[in-house]
Amino acid sequence: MDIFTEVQVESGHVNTVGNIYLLIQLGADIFMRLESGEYAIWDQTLPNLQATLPGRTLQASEPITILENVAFGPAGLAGATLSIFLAYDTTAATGELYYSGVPLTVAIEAEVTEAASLTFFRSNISSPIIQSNCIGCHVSGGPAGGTPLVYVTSGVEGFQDTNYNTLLEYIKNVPNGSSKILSRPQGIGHGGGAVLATESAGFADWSQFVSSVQNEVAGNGSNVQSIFAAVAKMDNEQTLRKAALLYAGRLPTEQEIASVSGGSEADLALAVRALMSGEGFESFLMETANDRLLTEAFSTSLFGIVNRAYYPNSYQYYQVPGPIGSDKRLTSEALAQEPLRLVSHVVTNERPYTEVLTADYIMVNPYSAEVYGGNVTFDDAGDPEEWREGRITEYYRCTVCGQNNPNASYNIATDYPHAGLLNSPAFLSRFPSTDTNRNRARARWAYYFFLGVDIEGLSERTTDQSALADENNPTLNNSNCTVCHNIMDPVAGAFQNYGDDGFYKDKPGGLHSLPRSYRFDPNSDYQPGDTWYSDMLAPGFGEELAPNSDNSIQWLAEKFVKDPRFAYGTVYFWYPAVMGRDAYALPENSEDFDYESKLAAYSVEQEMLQDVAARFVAGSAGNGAHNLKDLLVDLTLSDHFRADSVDAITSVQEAELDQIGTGKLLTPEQLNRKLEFTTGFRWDYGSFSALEQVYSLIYGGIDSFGITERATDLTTLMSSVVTAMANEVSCPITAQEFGLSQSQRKLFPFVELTSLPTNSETAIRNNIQHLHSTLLGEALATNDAEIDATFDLFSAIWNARLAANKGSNVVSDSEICITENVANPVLTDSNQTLRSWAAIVNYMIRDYKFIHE
Amino acid sequence: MNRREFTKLLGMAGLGATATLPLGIASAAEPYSGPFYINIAAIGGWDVTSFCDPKANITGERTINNWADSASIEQVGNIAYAPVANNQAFFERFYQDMMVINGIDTQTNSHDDGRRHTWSGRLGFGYPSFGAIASNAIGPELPLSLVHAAGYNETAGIARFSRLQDPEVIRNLVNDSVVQDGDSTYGLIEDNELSLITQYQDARLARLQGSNQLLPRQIEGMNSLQLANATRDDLKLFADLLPTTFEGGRDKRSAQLALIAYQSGLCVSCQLGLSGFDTHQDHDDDHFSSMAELTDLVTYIFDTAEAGGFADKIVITLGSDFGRKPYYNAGGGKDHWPIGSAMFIQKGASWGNRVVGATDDLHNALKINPSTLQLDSTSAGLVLEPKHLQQAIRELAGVDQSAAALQFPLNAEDVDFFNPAKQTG
Repeated sequence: MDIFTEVQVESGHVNTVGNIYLLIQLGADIFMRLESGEYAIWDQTLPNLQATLPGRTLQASEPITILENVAFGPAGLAGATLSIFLAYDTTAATGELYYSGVPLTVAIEAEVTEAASLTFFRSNISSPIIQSNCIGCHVSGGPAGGTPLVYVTSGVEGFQDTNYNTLLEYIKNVPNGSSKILSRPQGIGHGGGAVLATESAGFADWSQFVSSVQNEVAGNGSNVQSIFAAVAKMDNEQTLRKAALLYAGRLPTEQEIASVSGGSEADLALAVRALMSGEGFESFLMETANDRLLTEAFSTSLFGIVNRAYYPNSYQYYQVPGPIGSDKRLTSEALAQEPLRLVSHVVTNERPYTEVLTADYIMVNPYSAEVYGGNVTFDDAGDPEEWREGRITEYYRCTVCGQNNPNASYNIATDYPHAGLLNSPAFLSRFPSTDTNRNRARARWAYYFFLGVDIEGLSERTTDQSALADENNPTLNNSNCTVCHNIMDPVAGAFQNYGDDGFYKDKPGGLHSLPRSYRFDPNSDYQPGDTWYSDMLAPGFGEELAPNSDNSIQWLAEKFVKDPRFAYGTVYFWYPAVMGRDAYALPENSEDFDYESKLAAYSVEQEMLQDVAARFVAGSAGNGAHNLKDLLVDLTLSDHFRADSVDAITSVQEAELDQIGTGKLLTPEQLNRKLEFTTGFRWDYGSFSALEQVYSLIYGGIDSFGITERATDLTTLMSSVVTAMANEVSCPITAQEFGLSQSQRKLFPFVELTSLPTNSETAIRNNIQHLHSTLLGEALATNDAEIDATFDLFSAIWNARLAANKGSNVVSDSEICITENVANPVLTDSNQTLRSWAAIVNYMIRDYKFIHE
Repeated sequence: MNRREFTKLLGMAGLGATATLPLGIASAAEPYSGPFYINIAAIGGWDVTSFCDPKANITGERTINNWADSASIEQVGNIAYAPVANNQAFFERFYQDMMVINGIDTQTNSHDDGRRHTWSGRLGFGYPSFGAIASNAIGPELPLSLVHAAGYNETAGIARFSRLQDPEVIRNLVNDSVVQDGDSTYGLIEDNELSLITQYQDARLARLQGSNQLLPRQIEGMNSLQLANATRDDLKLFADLLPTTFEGGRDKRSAQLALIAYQSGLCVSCQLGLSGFDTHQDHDDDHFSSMAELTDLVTYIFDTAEAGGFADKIVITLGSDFGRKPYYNAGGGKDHWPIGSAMFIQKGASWGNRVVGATDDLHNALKINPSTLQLDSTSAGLVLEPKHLQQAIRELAGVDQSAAALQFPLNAEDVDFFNPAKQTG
């Protein structure tokens, strides 16, 4: 496109000196063309308005070329509207601005090309699916003629375009349209039942089509390239630092840094993967798993998980105090951690992640093995950190039940049918059921945790009260209810052998878990021998029925891990731990002002999640399918993790890049590990970790019980934890460091306490540079303004102390140094440098970059 | 740094125009003493047919309420209530200060959706709670502007909520530069050195904020830190009011701490919540017990506020995910029902002792005329929805035209809720 204009200067202004301005409004931003020809955002204040032709002797007609041979499509401006304004001022009328009141408006439409999804629709969807499977019902006058999806037959002119547009409108406009249109052909919420088997080629095509449409709808001028176009990513070294702190709770070694410096993405991937071992990684795995599974809620109450009757070995702890370190407490912690240990065990041993559901064992340590049995041999029977694969052998069903019943008899030995997390006693207890809930909550969470499906989000939101007043078993018969219950109830049934509290076949006789309220309800169809409710869908998954009631949960585990959604669900499960936030929800309200941006952000993120999921299933990294470490590496190397800065962000990008990239507030546990590793000091109050225990909840942590969501925004109260930390630990850290030889020190390898600003500025600057690198991750030259500022602070503190005639003792009533956790602290400071360095540590520990990553 | 210095600092950093956390409202530079907006959620879905929209049993229909077999609906002033739990004492004490809104259709039977709908006014994701809007509009720079204990906590990036769990820990934290040993207090760092560190840290943060290459998340994090740094000293006002003993129960303690946060001039709104209302079995015993706890909590709040001399500042909104079915299931429980109620309570309110909205005998929502508030089955009538509730509280608080409220429009029809001359029925 070319746009040539001219400014017709008022006759009285001809041959006066003036400035000519060119402004272009794009969305909410107004750009001004500078003299250089580049564009800059104008803040809409006159003092900051810059001319494109400054200091010009004005002629009667001033020709201005606005555009010449510009292609808007490739510039990413398709769909945009430009409003162009011209103006000039002149010395002949100081303070006046002459401008075009009505802009020249240019609406840029996208080039009309056939969407890829339409091409795919013609070849893979129209005939083999729509005309073969759907048209029988989804046609005007047909059984599904009243639904939003009504197609036309192939005899109608333009039938492919018409049907394509019908689907397009559905996906675009119906809340959760994409999810629904994927689930309907599988029989979920579909009056016509299943028409495409989950593993069929037809369903794969259908999924690809929906995904393609989703991306095109979301794209709408915005795509991966445009979202990240102006974004700069962390380099390899920076990425490795973040990854090391996240996965290993430490900084990378020099060798590790060297392995990625100037290297390829593959080098980085290898180095990141190598961080995934050891205690720090296990902590990452267990904390992340617990953020979802929340079983740590029972870490002080073993009888929240087991019962002294069904698990007779637990009786020894009944009504026994359980102080920290006692056998009872250690047993409680072991039972609560068991599912988290399974996750850690599978991942750290490079086993397929599917094993978290299919494991035919349970993780035990010496304390939990005491309750669960299993004949496991331990190297050290008193070591709570020794975890091994075991089995539950000490569980007894009852012929006569009731733990307070004097005639009770728990005498039926049980071969517990392990199915990984799905029937872990801690998991089942943390997500209990009721007689009327009938395992539906467990089904909901199983779908959410392992398939990434939020069943509540699938619901059509009924506005019809009469639908909910339906008495004819609505969860089985009323479409307002079956939309969720058809998905949920078969899986609830697969949990059939587990009672409300999670105990296996816990009813008298030990043959089932059906509650008394159902068995003795005169209106129920209960028959002896039943293991599930006759008025609910049979145990199964989708359209498949569980073949054997005894092992339906194991069968479900196998079905789950083979489901195409398992990989996505796994990415979804681990995503918040890596990115510091949940994946975006699909924006539903198109009237929102930032809807398009949010949709674009969602789509780009979904594309990444699906891509990572596909690589996870395929084992693309060469370490076998379903390797969680590879999945974490892929997330770490993504733009979403590595985005670090952006040039001249626009309001659109602001919404698209919301919560992306670096700048995540560290959790209490992460901050604690970072503090300990970088300074060598533990901030403990006696035997309690200040951050992980005393201040955990204040600092945004969870208790896994009432508080289950982490805070991600720093509040004033949270910041007081940071300042308390800085004030309390800066002196002991410094005192500890100078008690070590230079080569042993983490923070002060370049100075001694005799190094003064007056005689050792270079050494001090070098050390400050080291501190910025170690504590804040900043690679700065020694003459950088930040180093200057830190040096100035050091000098200012030192001078203040000299001026105050401070004595050599580090400790006084007005400046206590809490060194109880320090082995060999230096507590004399005749040069006043120890306290000066402590002030620098204080300054850095309370810094934005210390508490965020 | 006190709040006045903070206001100056805002000007220096040019943050007055920050979109997500609009800082630096001059009128809020002093301790806040305006109305305190307390939102209390009955988590799980409450049975309003045994509370403020009482239903008797209908011959030929399923039993709605067991209590109705042997007791009658009670009434005080213009407000009817069910004679269970501690309802009598509650309604008799507060009826003149209360507006009951019945027949609110949450349009869902899903907990997550219901909570979101009731407390944000929109069924879809992304809208903040009223507390977040009030916090943003009235006191965005207050360090405890929005206190959250339970329930819906979406802030949509316009506010930050504080959790107040352990008062003893908080008491220690706010004195972050000293330690206590018995009766003796020791400093951790000389005051003049701490001032230097603070001064240099503020300058460094300003340099970081000055970059024009920051991602939105980084901008938000730095702004939060700046706000925290600038208001941290104000927490002492809160700590100074902390008593030596606290309420034993979690819910009352949460309310107690929120009230102290308000008394200290640092809090505009809080979100409290009680669980125990999702009674799918053994409804009557469990639900009425929870109901009693709920009304006791309201009573406790007003008792405490009266003792503190600020009861006239308390504005309470009571609500829930939705209602419960007007009949029992086989387990003696009641399942989910999209129709519910809400309630505003403010001492001496001109709009008290009134009921707006209605349901029929089987607890189906009825249309009312938004102008006359009378039943109106014509096209001019409407069924109340959570958007009307949220629009009402926005208007009551005078924040309905604030930038935060306008950013999240409810598009609710104008219902004449607060006209003392009108009510339904």
